[in-house]
Amino acid sequence: MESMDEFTQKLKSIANQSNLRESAAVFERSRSFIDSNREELLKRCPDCWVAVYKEQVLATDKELQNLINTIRKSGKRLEHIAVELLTSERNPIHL
Amino acid sequence: MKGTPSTFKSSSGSQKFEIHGFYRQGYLDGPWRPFVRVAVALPRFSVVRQVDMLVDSGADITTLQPQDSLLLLEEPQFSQLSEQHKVQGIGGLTNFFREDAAIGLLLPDGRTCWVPIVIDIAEPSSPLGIPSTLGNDIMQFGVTNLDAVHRTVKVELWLTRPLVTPS
Repeated sequence: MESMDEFTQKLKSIANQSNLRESAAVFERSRSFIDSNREELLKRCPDCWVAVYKEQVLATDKELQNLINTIRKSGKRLEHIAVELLTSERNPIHL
Repeated sequence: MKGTPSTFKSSSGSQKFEIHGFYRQGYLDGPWRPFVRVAVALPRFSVVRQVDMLVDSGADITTLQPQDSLLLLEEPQFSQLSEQHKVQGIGGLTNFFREDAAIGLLLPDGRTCWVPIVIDIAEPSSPLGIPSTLGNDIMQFGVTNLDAVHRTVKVELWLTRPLVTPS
């Protein structure tokens, strides 16, 4: 376990290097595309994981790990990409 | 942008940070669920990303599900996390790894306010498709308002020594 000071220094370093504002703007575009096109995406690939970069579908796959591998090979910045399971099942969540 | 936060100072020196979230359907014609968008940092691995978290007032701990954690960590890095432990949910026991993390609130001026927590990272081999969740380890610092009629979400956090990083 690292000290709180070390933790804070690492956190500051990450924050300084990550350009969170830009990432947030791009992630919003990616995420909004899924929300706005959920029905169409579900028709194209029911019960699949979907990865979106801006307004572009990067990959779809039944297996999340396969999808992640495709995303990593794409060279796109991971923090810009939105991922979700598109399911036709009407399962309520019990957390 | 979704989840726009703002900040106020009180006379006692603590600062109030507001996150404005949103409601989203989990599936077509499904129920609307309350979310907030935050940054999740794992300093030991020098990674950060935006995550939309389901507001879960019944949860003790904030969690990361595989669709988010696998974009923060590469699979071999999961072996560097703590030993797995079981967490009781309404749906049963689930395996999680515990990791020092920070939840970041993006402020309107471009700065980010960070709240250190110990996060539970779900074992990634069997993703369920459920969202990552914001638990009481964050919400304990303030007031959470869920307005299902108008579909608005507001989480207020009162922090005495906030860690704020520049834009």
